[in-house]
Amino acid sequence: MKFFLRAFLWFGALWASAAEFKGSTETPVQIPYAQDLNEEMLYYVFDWGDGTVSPSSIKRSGIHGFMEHQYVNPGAYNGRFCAVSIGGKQSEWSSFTVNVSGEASERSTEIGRRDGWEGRKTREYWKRQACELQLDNLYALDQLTVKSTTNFPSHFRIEYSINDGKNWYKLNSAQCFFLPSLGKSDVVFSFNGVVANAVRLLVTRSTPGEVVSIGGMELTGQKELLFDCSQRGPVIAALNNMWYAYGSAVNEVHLDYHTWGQSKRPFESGVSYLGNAEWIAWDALEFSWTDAKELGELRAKWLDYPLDEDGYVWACPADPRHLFHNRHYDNNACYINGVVHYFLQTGDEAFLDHACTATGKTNLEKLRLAMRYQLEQLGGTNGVLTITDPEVQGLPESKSGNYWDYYNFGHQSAFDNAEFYRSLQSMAKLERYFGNDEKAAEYNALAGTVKEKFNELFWNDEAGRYIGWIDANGVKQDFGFTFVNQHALAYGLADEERARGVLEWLDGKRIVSDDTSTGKDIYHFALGARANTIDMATAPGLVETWGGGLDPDEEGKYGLSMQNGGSIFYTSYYDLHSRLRYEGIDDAMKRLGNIVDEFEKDELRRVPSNHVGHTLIVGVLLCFPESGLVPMFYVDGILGISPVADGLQMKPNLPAGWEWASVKSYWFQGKEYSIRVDRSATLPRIEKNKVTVPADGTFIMTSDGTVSAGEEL
Amino acid sequence: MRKLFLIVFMMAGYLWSEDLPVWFDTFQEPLESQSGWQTFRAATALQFEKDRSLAGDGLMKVKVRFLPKVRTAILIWRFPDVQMKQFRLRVQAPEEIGDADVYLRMVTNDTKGDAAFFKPWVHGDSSADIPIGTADGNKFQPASPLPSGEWITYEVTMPDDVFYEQKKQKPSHAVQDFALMNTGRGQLNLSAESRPATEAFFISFTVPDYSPLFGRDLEFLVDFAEIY
Repeated sequence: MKFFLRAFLWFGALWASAAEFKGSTETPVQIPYAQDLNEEMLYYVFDWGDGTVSPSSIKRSGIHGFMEHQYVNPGAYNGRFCAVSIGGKQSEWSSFTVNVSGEASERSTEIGRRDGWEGRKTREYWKRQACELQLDNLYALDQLTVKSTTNFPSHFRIEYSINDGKNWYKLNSAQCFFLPSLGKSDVVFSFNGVVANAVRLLVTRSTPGEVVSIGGMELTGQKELLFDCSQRGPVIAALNNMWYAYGSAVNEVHLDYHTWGQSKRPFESGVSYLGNAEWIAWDALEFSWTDAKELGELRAKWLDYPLDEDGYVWACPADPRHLFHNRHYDNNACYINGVVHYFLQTGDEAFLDHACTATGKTNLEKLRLAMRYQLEQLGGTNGVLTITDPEVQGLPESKSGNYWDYYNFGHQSAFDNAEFYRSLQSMAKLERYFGNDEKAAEYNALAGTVKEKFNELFWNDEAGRYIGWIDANGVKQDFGFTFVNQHALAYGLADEERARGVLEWLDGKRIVSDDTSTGKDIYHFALGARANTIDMATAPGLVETWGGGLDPDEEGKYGLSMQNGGSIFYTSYYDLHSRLRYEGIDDAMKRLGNIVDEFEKDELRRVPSNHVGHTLIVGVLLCFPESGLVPMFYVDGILGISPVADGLQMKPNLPAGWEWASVKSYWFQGKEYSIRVDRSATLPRIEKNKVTVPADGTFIMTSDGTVSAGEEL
Repeated sequence: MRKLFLIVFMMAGYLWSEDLPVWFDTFQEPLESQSGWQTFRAATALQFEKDRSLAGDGLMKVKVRFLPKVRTAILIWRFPDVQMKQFRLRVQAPEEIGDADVYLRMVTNDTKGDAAFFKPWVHGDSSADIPIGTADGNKFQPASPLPSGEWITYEVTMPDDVFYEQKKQKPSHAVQDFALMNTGRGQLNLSAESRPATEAFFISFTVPDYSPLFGRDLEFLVDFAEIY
C-alpha cells in the first residue's frame, strides 16, 4: 500500500510535470511538485534548463506545491526537478518543458559580485566555512547566483546581514542538505526584497579531507527599498525585514507550502495570516495594501464567513467557538474592523455585494447584522457591551471571552469594549462611504458614549490604568493588563492625563504597588511589554490554563507563560501607536529603537521554552501571524497612511532627522502607488503613480487619483 | 617512506569511510535560537558556552533541579522528520552527583505521534534494573548510573535498541493543540500508509525515588547530538 501511495505521488508529479507549461518573460511560470521520500522532510531542486538551478525551501514529504521561476529570454526550455530529503535520499529526476513567450526582459541590477572561493580542508565535519559578499549600502535584494564548480558544497545555507556582518540571519528558504551534483548550472536563491548590506554562503557540514569551492557570487537587487527613508540604517532595514519575516512571510519555511501554513521546530517561522475572526482586522491591515496572493486567499475565506442568524460572528469558518471551546465576544468587532478596512482600501464592491451562500445575505448586510448583534444582543446601545453568555462572566471557572484566552475576560470586558469602540468608528466610515451620513453620525455619537462609559467603568484610579473586566458580581479585575491599556490608548480612548499615567507605568517611571513586575522589568522581553504586571497566581481561578496550572511546577509560573508575565509581539504595534498618539513620534521611535535592537540580534527568531516543555513564553513565530502588525507601524504610523471614507488619508509623522520616507508597491482601490512624505515638499502632488506629500498636514487621495490637503478624520 | 604513505593512506581511508551525521548539533557559534532544544520537568533552563576542546567548540549546559515529585529531567530535541538509523549523544553528569544514581534514557516521537522507548545507557556490568513507565505499566530495563564528571557517549540504533513501542496517546495538554493549531497536518492523510519518520527526541535524566540530589541545582553538559 505504501508503495502505491509513493507511486501515486511520483506518477502524479510526473504527469503534472510531463505536460508542457507556458510562460512569458513577464510573469513567472509555476511548476507543480509532490514527492514522498519515506516521510522525511525534503526540498526540491529545480533545474530550469536555462543554466540555473533553484532549491526550494524545506517541505514535508507528500505536499503538493509549486515552484516559481522567471525566464528572462523567450524560447523552449527543457527542465527537470528532483526531491532531496534531510536524510540524503534523492528521488528520480522528473522532466518538464516550458515554452516562454515575449520579449527578452532585463534582469534586475547587479549590486555586488565576487570571484571564486575555495574553502579549507577540514578534519571535522562540523567546521563551518563562509564565503562573504559585502555591499556598499543597504539594498533590497533580488537574487543571489552562486556560480558552479566541480566541488560545489552539498550542505550549506544562505545568510544575510543588515550591519555589515556583525549579525547574520538565515534566509530560511535557502537551506540545502545533500545537494546533488549540478554540473555547470549556477544555483540561484531569491531574497524577494529582503534588505541587507552583506550576504554569505555558510557551509554547514563538511566532508573531512575534502575541499569545497564556488565559482563566484553575483547579487542583484535595487537601491530603493519597499519601506525607504533618508536615514539608511538598522531601523529601516529592520522594518523591511520584519515585514518579510512576519508580514508576507515570503522567505519562511512553510512545510505545507502555503505561507499561512505552520512550521515546526527547528524551522519555526513567521506566518502570513490566519483568517479567523479575531485575526480578520489584523490580516486586513497587513494585506489589503498589497497585491499579494494571500489577499486573494483571505478574500475567499471571508467571502462566505459564517454568522449566526442573530449576527454572532463565528470564531472560525468551521465553528462558532474558539478552538471548539467557547464563544468569544470580540469576534464581531474584529470582523467589522477587518472587512471595513479591506473594503475601504480595495474598493472591492463585489465583495460587499456578494450574497453569502449559506444565509443569502450580502456581506454589507452581514456587517450591519454583526454590528446589530453588538448593539442589541450585547447591549452596546447603552454604551457598554455586556456579555450574557453564562460561560463568559469573568468569574472563577468562567471562560475567556476574547483573543487572550487564558484570562477570564467576561461580563463587561475592557478589551472587548475597546474593540467595540473601534468597530463603531469603522461602521461610521463605511456608512459615510455609502452616503449614509446620518447613520455615520449615529455611530460616531455612540462611540462618544462608549468612550465616556469606558473611562467611567474601566479606569482604576488607584493604579492609574485601565482594568481587565468587571465580573458578573460587579468586581473589577485588574492584573496590570498592558495590552488592554495599549489597545485603549491606540484607539484614543484615554484623555491626555490618563494616557500619560499609563505610559509612565509601562515605562517603569511610576510604580504601582502590589505589581509583580515594576520598573524596567515590564519590558523584560524587550520585544514588547509583559502581558500583565500582576502574577495571575494571586487569583488562579481567573485563569483558564488549558490543562496546565499556575503553581511554580507548572507552565503558568509568572514569566514562563505569554499570558502570565510573558509577552506577545503584536502588542508592540498598539504600544507604538499609543506613544505616537499621546507622546509623539520621538517617544514611539524610542520604543521602536528598542525593538530594532532586539531584532538585530536574531530577527526575534526566539522560542524559549519553559520547564514544562512549552514554547509559549513569548509569541512571535508559529501561530502568531499578528507579529506582522509591528512593521505596519511604519505605514500607518510614521507615514500615517490609512483608508477612510473619502479616500486614502495621509497624515505623516516623520521622526526627527528623517528628510523623507516612502513606501512603494502600495495598492489603493485597484491602483499601485508609491507614496513619499518629504520635508522639502510644500504641496501634495501626484505624477503618474507617484504621490508626494509634505511632512506636515493631513492629505487625502481619492480613488480617481487626485490628492489634496484634507481635514483630519 | 612506504610506511608513511601507508599511514596516510589508512588515515585518509578512515576519514573518508566514516559516516557523517545527517543532522546534528554541536552548539557552535553563531548559536541558533532555533536549534530545537526544549527543557521539560526537572530540566529548567539551557545555557550555551564556548569550549574549544569540544566538537563544535561549544557545549550546552542543562540546568536541572530534581524534586521528590519531579525525578526526571527531560531534554526535548526537535529536528526535521528523518528516518533515523542511529543516534549519538555525548553528555557529562556533574561532579557534584558523586555516587548518587542518575540514569540516562530516551524516547522518540515519530510523525504518526507514536513513541519508541530506547534502552537506557549501560556501561559494562555496572547496571541495575530501572522502571520505565509506559502505557502498559512499568517496564524494567537494565541501566547504568552515569559517572560523575566524565564524558560518556550514549548510542542507540533503530530498531535494535527499541524495547517498547507505544501508539499515539490522546494529548494530555490542550495547549499543545493550540500551538500546533492550523498545521494542516490533518489534511495530509499520508501517515497511514507511509513509514513514519522520527521527529523528536525526549532525552531523560532520572533519579530513583529517594535521591540525595533532590533540591540541588545541577548542571549536565552536552557536547554533541548526532543523528545518522
